[in-house]
Amino acid sequence: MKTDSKRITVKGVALVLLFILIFCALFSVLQTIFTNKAGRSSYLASAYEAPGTVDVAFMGTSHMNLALYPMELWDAYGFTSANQAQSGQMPFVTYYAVQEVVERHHPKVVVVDLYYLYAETQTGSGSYTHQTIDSMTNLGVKLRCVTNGLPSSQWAEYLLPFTLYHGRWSELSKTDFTAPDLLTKGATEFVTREYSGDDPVFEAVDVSDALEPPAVSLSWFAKIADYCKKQDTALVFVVVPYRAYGEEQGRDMADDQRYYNWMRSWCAENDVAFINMLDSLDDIGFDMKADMREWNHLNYFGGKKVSLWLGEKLAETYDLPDRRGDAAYAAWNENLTTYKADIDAQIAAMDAPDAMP
Amino acid sequence: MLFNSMRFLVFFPLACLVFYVCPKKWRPAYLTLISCFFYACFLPINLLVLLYVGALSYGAGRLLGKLGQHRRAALACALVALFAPLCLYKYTQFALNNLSTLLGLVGIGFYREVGWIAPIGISFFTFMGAGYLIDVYRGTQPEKNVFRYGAFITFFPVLASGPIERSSGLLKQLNEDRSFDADKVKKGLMMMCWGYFLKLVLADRLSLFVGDAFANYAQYGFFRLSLGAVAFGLQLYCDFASYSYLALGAGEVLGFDLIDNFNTPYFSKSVTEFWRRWHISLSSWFRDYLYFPLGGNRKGTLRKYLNVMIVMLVSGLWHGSTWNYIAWGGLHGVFQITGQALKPWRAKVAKALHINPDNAGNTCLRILFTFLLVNFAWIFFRAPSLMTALAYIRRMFTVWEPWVLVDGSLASMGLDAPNLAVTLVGMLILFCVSLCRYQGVDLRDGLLRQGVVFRWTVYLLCIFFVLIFGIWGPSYSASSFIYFQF
Repeated sequence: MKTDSKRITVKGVALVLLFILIFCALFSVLQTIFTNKAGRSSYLASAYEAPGTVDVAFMGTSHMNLALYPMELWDAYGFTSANQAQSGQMPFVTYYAVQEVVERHHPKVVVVDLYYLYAETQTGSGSYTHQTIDSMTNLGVKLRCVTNGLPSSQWAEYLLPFTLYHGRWSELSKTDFTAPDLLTKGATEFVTREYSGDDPVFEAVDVSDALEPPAVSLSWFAKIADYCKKQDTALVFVVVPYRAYGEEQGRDMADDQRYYNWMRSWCAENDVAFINMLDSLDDIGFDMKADMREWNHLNYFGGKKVSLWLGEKLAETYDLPDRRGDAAYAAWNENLTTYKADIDAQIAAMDAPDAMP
Repeated sequence: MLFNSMRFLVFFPLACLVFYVCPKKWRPAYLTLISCFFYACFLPINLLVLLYVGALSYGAGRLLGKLGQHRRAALACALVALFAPLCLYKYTQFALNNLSTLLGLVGIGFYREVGWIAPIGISFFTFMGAGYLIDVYRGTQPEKNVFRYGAFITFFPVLASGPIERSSGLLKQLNEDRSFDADKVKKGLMMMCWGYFLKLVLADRLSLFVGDAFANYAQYGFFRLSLGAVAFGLQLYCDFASYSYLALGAGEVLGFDLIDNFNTPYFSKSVTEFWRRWHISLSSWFRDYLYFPLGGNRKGTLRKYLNVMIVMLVSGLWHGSTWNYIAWGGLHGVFQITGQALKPWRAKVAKALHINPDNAGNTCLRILFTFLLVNFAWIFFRAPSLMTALAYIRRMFTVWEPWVLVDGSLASMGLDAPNLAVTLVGMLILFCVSLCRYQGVDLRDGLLRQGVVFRWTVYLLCIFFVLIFGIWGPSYSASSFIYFQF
C-alpha cells in the first residue's frame, strides 16, 4: 500500500517540532507583554514572595483589596501577608485564587470577604474576571478555574489571553514590560480625606434577621471552606465596612446584612470563623464618613483602622509569628521604610494648601 | 468552518496529517469525508444541497459518457436540475421583489418574504458541477470513481469561496499519483500566511473605514466618499483574494495546484484586462461556458459587444441578486465595450500626437484610470441598493471638502490614527508584493533558497505580524477594560 510516510524524515519532523517550539516560546513572551496588567499588582502580591513565606492571605473583592494593608500589619504585628483581592472577583474565581495562594504558601490563615454573597450568577464582568485569571501563575489552577467556571466558548480567551489582547499593540506602555509594583503587597490604598458625597446612610439590621443567600454564591463559599479544611488552613470569612447603596445600585443593603446574619449561623455550624465588621464599627473606631473613599470602599485611614483591628485578632487567635527581627525577612523591613515614606508623601501632598480637592 | 476560525486552525493540521499518513488509494474517500465534515460545520442541513449537486453531476456525467444520442437534451435537463437549488435559494426573493414592484404599479399589493438563506458556496460548487458536465458533453471522459469525483466537488479548500475548479485541473490531479513534497507544503503555508495577512490585517481593518463611509455618506463629501470607494475596492480585493490564497495554500499543503484566482488585478491597463486578472476562475468559466457558446467574438463586432454585455450582466447577477449588482455588471460591460470601441481612435490620437502608449508614464496613467473606473463601479457593488449607490455618487460629486485631508477627519472614519498607519503600512507591503508578482518575481521560491535561520526569521516575523496586527479573536476595547471602577 502506497503511503508518504517514507518521504517524511526524522530530520524533517524534528525541524518542524523545533520551529513549533520557538514559535510557542515567542508566543508566550508576547502573550505576557500584551496581557492587560490592570489587576497584576494586587494579584501577584504573593507570587513574588518565596514559597511558604506568607502567613496570611486576604482574598475576595475590592472591598477587601482597599481595606487590609499588609505593610501596616507587618509594622504593627510582624506577620507577613498578601492582599490578593480584586475588583469584581466572583466567588468562583476567589475559590481558585485561594487554591493558588494555598498551593504556593500554605498560609496559616486565609481571610475571604463575603461581599459577593449576594451574587445570583456565577460569572460577572468579563474584564474583572480577566483581571484575576490573567494574573494566575499556577497553570493547573488556572485551567481548573477556566474549565470549571466559564462557558467553553470563553476558554480560549482566558487560557490564551493573547487571542483577546493582541489588539493592545497601540496602547502598550512601560508597565507592560516591567515587574509589578508590589510596595503595598497587593493592597490598594487611596490616601483621601472623608467622602464628600451624600451623607452616609447606614442602618444596622438585627442579627436575628436572616435571609438565605443565593445558592450559586453560597456554593462557592462552601467550597472555599471545604478546601481550606482539607488543606488544614484556617479560614476567616469577613465583612468589611461599607455603606448604604446609592440608588444606582438598585439593591437594598439590609438584604446584604440579612445574608451575613444567615452566614454567621452557617459558619458556626461548619466551624468557620466569621467576623462582620459592620457589627463592630464602634469597637474599630470606624467613622462612616471620614474613613470612606466613597460609598462602597474605605480610604487609607479607614483601611488602616480596619487592618490594625483585624490584625490584632488574627495575631492573637492564630498565634501568628512576629518576623520583624528575622534576617530572612529583612526585605520586608526595607520595603516598610519605602512604604512609609510613600504614604507620608501622599498625605503631605493631600494636605498641601494647593492640593486638588 | 471559516478559514479564520480557531476551529479551522485545529482542523487543518489534523486533516493534513491524516491525509499524508493515509494510504494513497483511500485519500479521495478521506478527502470527501473531511470535506463534508468541513461543510457541515457551517450548517449541517446544507450538506444535503452539496450532496445533491455532487450526486447529480456525478450521475449525469456518467450518463452523458454513455449516451450516444440525445446528449444535448440530457445535458440541458441535468443543468436545469443542477442550477435549480442555486436559482431557488438566490433568486426567488429577487423575483418576488420584482413581481411585487410590477404588481404595485397596477395597484395590486403583493409582498412575500421567503427568508431562504443560500447555503455557503452554492454558487461555487454548482458552477464546478456544471463546468464538469459541459466538459463531459464536449468529450472529456467522465469520472467513474465516486470518491474521486466526491473529493473534486466537495474539496474543502475551495468549497466556500472558490476558486471554481475544473475537471482539467483538480479532478485530473486527483487521478495522479502525487507524493508528499516538503517544499510544496512550505510554499502552501506561506501562501496561507499571505492570505491571513490580506484578510486579518487589511480587509477587516479597511472594512471599518468603508463601513463608516457607506453608513454616513449623507454627511460626507468628495474626498471621504472617494476614499471610501477606493478603500472598498482594496477591501474587496484583500478579502476575496485572501480566501483564494488560503484555498490555494491549503490545496498546496495537500499537494494540489489550484487555479490562481487573482493576478494583480489593480495593475490592469484596461477593464477587459482587469477581468483576465480578477476572479480568474469565474471569468474563465464564463468565457468557456457562456461567452464562447454565445459566439464570442466570431460573429461580428456588434454581436461581440452584446455577448460581453450578457456575460457581465450574468456575472453581476451571480455576485448578488439585487439590481445594484446587475448595474455593477452592466457598468463593467459598458466600460469594456467603450474601451474596445475607442481602441482604434485612441491609437490614431496617440499616433498623431507621437505618444508611445506603452511607455512607463502612459502605462501608469492607464493603470490609474482603470483603477478609478473599477473603483467607481464598486460603489454599486457595496451600496445596499441601487438608489443608495446613486445617492452616494451624487453626494460625492456635489460636496467638496478638501480640508478633511488635513484636519484629522479621516482618523475618525472607523479607524484611529494608529490603525490608519497600520493600514497604510499593510498597503505598502501589498503593493510591493504585487509589484514583484507583476514583474514575475516569485518571492516564495526566493525565500526557499535562503538559509534556515533567515527563512525562519521571516516566517516568524510574518506570523507574528499577522497575529499582532490582525483583527481576530474576541473583540477587545480598552474602554471596556477600564478596571478599578469599583
